Amino acid sequence: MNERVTVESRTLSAQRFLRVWGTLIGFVLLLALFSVLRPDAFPRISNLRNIVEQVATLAIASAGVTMVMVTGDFDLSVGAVASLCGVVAAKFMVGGMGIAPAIALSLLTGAALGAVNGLLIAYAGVSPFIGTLAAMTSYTGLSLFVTGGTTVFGLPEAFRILGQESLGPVPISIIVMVIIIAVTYIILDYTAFGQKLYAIGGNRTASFLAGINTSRARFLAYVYSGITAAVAGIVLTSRLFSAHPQAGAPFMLNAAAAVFLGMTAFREGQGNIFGSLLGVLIMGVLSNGLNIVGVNTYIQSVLTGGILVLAVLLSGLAQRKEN
Amino acid sequence: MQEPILHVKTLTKTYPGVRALDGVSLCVQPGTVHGLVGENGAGKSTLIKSLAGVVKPDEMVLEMKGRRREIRNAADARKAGLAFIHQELNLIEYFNAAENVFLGHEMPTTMGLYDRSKLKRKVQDIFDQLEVSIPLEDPVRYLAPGQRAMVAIARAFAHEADVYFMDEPATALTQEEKRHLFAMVRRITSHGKSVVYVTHNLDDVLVLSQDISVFREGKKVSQWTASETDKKHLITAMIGEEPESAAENIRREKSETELFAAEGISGGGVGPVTFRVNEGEILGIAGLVGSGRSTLMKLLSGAVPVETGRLRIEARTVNPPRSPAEALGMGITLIPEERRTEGLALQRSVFENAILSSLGRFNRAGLLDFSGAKKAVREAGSRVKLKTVSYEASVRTLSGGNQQKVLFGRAVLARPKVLLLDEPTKGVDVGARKEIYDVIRDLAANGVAVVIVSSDFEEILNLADRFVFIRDGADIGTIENNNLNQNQYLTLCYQGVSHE
Repeated sequence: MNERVTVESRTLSAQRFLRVWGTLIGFVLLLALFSVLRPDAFPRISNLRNIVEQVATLAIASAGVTMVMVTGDFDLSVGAVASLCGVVAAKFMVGGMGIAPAIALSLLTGAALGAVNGLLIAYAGVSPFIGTLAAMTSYTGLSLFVTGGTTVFGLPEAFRILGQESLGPVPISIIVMVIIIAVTYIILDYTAFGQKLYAIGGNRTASFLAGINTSRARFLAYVYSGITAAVAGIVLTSRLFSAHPQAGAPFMLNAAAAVFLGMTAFREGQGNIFGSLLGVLIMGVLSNGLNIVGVNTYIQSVLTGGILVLAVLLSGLAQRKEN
Repeated sequence: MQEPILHVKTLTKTYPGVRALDGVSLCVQPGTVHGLVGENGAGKSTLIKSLAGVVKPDEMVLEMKGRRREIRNAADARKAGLAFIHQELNLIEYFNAAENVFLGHEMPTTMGLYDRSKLKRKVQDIFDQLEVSIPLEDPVRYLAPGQRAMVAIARAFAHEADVYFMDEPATALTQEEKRHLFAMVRRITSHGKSVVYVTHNLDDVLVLSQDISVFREGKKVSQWTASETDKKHLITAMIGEEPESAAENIRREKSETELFAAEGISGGGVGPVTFRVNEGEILGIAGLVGSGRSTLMKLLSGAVPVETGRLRIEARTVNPPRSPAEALGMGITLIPEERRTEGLALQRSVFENAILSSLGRFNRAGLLDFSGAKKAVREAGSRVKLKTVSYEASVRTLSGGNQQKVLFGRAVLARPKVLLLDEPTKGVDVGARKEIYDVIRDLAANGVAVVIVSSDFEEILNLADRFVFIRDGADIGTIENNNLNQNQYLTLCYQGVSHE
């Protein structure tokens, strides 16, 4: 036993430090790089605020995906749920319903769609990948059907507040993001439910035999993901001041990418909300910085993919060295 | 004396602050089985890792058949003629036996194309040499544990090594399977090869080995030929003191108040089974491996659905639990057989693993009362004599015995009325084993009804107050444990209890 204890304490050294803080260091280096390349444009407060505002909706959607991925499951449907919930809210508002009830119905829709995912995966035993892939396809179809494939315009002016206005210097969308992240952090790290989610992610069979209702916990994580996707869809609809049936589509891969990036930060190999936020910010800074530097949009995608692989590879390499 | 096939000298390995191996030597004769025993942490695994090229020793001289060899990595070890069969076997579940045996070899081809029938012939050839019969076509996931172990060994044998290191290959096996495995091991040695056999099971070592080396605290403390030693000797050498029988037979004051009873419980091909357990009593579910013992435990804990029958808890008749969560609510807690796959989330911390069944109790208006929970976990940890550097360390870093104590800590925290134990000391070293027996007796003394399944005869004969015998899933009778001996016990396992 003694030998293992010493091995453990030895890994507390440089490698472990890099594994926990490496992604954050990479992020800071990225900020420094763009600041050096374009000192006139990149490091300005207005630009930085712009970046956060750009990624706020993605961060909101990623919060739910983080919760799902903590249990070891996966959610490909967030983009489709966000789109459909944005469409639902817009349709109701255009139909004359008040803003608040329309938002409430949209959130309920998100919860219901998440519940469908949860039923399929946690109770019917469909694999998360296939279950949410199928769900994504159906939800996208629904959005297109409801809108006839066109963008919904004519939203009430007051609805601009969520995505376009600021409270003092802080955009409302960022405030919503902060609230969602805080709530997710509290659920994951300060509740019995959060402990259950992490335990299920660690070993589902063991958690089940220890008396945890694993199906219910996984189901609820999907419901939460549905709700945060709905919030993201609503804020996005306000920002664009219109609802496109596929507006949320980029969330599907970006949210998963952000959570994966986040797993390389702060806690080794585990989903965590601040890691996901860092992942979202890295993607936002990359896209903004590359734009300012003048890199071709298509090449930006190539670089983003490369950076994702690099981050995972570097943390993986550190792990291999340990043995 | 012949020239040894493997001769290791002055093997030393130091980790910061710990000397894991201290000038150890090991001498293996050709055509023999060499048993390696010692408690966890005695240095056996560091020895094997050093020879396998996984860790780099500070100093090691290695001779194979009199020739000096350097081992810097796994490829060197293979070239030197060393093969390793790990406890986890490392089989590919969806590959069949033939494909698994040939893993890492060049695949047989005909005109450049992979030739399946050639592969089958070659593997059949290997199986014939070892005189084992294993279906070649089925994915290994459908094979019995004994056959899986044999596939792993055959794979090593196909590499034509000189010395085979086997780490606990017989853990999950029935007596019958074990006999086959031992025959296979002997056949390997009859080809002039040697086997180094690592296990906690001293009976197996004594039956199988010609030589036995005992390790303690990084040193080889003794080496015997198997014929001149016995179990007591070995234990003395392993723990460095006279053994008091680890599972000493201590009979307690018995309560006559029934706490838990099963009435005709059946499901999963087992039952109907009927028994009762009084407050503070330890009931042994007796039977051979494969008799349905473990299934019965899963039925009682809600992990496998019950088809018929009722339970009685504290004189109240209730429907059997439909899930472990429901069982927990009724006061029934299970410590499952496979602690690594069914018991623990290995990457998570000791704290998180221990609190898992008691999260509800520390729920304060939605938030988890971390300070209360941590205090309770520390108390439970000291009650089960858990040794860990920190409760934040991941359980993966603990020894087998301490991992098992984490599960006992979890059970203690859950405050069960009924505690179900499936193989509670599997893969646990002698010292920790004794402490676990103390914990079990302590829980019973505090009124918990304990139901235990164990393949360790000594353990179950000493712990249980009463037995229910199960054979092929059927209840074949109940008997008080009036100092049954192993023979009587085994006879009952085969024949059942007759009440004339």
